[in-house]
Amino acid sequence: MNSDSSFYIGTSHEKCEDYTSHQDNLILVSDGCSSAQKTDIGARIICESAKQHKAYQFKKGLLMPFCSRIIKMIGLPDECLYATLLTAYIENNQILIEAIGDGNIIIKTKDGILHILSMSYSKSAPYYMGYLIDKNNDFLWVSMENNNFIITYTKIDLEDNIFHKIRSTKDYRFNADTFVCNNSSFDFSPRKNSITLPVENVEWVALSSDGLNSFYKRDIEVDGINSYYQPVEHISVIKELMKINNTNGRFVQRRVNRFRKRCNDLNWHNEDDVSLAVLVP
Amino acid sequence: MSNSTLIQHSIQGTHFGYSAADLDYLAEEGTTEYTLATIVVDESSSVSSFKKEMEAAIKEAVKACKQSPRSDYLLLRVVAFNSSPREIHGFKPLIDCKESDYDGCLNPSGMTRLFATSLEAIDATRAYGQQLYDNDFDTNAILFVITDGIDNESGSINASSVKDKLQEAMRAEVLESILTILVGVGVGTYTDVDQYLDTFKDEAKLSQYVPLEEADEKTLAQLGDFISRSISSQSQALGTGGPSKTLTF
Repeated sequence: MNSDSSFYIGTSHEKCEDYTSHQDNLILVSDGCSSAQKTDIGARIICESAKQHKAYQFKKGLLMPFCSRIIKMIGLPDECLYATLLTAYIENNQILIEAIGDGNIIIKTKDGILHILSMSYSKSAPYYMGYLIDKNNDFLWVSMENNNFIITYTKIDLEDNIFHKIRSTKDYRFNADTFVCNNSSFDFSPRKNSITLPVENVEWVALSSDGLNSFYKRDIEVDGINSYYQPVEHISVIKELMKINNTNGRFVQRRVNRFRKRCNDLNWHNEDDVSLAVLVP
Repeated sequence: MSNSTLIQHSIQGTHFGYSAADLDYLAEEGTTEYTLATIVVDESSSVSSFKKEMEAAIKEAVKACKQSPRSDYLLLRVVAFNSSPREIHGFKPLIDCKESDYDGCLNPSGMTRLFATSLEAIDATRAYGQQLYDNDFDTNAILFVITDGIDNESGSINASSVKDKLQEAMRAEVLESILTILVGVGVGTYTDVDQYLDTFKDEAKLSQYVPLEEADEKTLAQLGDFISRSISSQSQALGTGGPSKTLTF
């Protein structure tokens, strides 16, 4: 078993509001809201508190009151906790993945297939951890019009063929026969997403923020002077990033270092912060 | 780590090989980048008179490298050569290199297989660099070839062959940069050797030639210091995209 994580700033950001953490059988990713204050610190407080409490207290609703006490003690605004939280941990031979907010869950099963679940919101307004203890903002978020929750499930085989894709905006149920692997279970909703997978079927599980969906390729026009930016599909980014050959030690840091060099070669730029955490059972 | 935990590798298309630390072991160390340092040292019969001083220079280099802030990022390989090459030890973390390991490590005898051994050392560096690259480690390299004489055992392999191998290694783009330093020991009274080695450096397109006039204790102690400073400097350059500047002896 091993876990590792890494994060880095996006080109349009003054400070990195993504954060990752890892510990033995647990990985965590948090992405702070750019329009709220001090969310870079909030994302760290949420991650480290969840790690401290081994994530399970999160289910009992104890995590956010704990974080709230911390920020009050150090004089930070409530809105610093407007951040997502994605966690994956191993318990009783099962991998439990939980996600509040947007981002990507990437699973490689033992048969070599890559499963990508991308969670997004049509008005780019994800549900944030801070709303769990802020009833007013929770209400405002629910009342927001046309902010549909979108979950996209993509499967890529060993030959790089994308052979299954479901995009859902209303009905979040997938056919259990086609979802990741046998004996998996899931529960998707705009507020919280959960997946349970048997350890024996999984090679690794990765979590990332929505930063993987913010890549652009800089192309030079024929005149050699003007340049323009084309979005890079997040599936292409994930395929490039997740070329993991060795899962020992700081393997995510090594992979991210190599990926960033590759991005330079490809002329890819990430506007948003990028974060990645990987858990190898 | 002892030598016994180094893994033996053969190089495809050649009849020689090298040993190196297991990649999983390196990964467990938590380091994400390494500088591959190789010291290739002449142990032909002409080295007999300053064998101990040469061993002391290697020991000094290892000792000084251990004090470098980059010591955790260094993998050292030491090769001796006369009529044939002999790996004293393969690429291994500096922490596993004990100074006492180099007591009596040279056994002077035989001829000088300078070009072929240089070529093989470059090839071993490229091959292990490829393995590190494939496992996402960032890597650069520095290679010292220390000799007191003229090649008389490499057959058809010449300085141009070394140049081709060096260019091949750089074209592979698995090593961020490679610094190659040729050291001529005790060449002060042998101007023909000095000239020969200078020409070797130019023809093989090596990075630097350092002629040492004497082969005495003081000069070779300075050589140890020079080697460690050069290794540290190259290691600090890792991530910049190019090699470090060559240092003055």
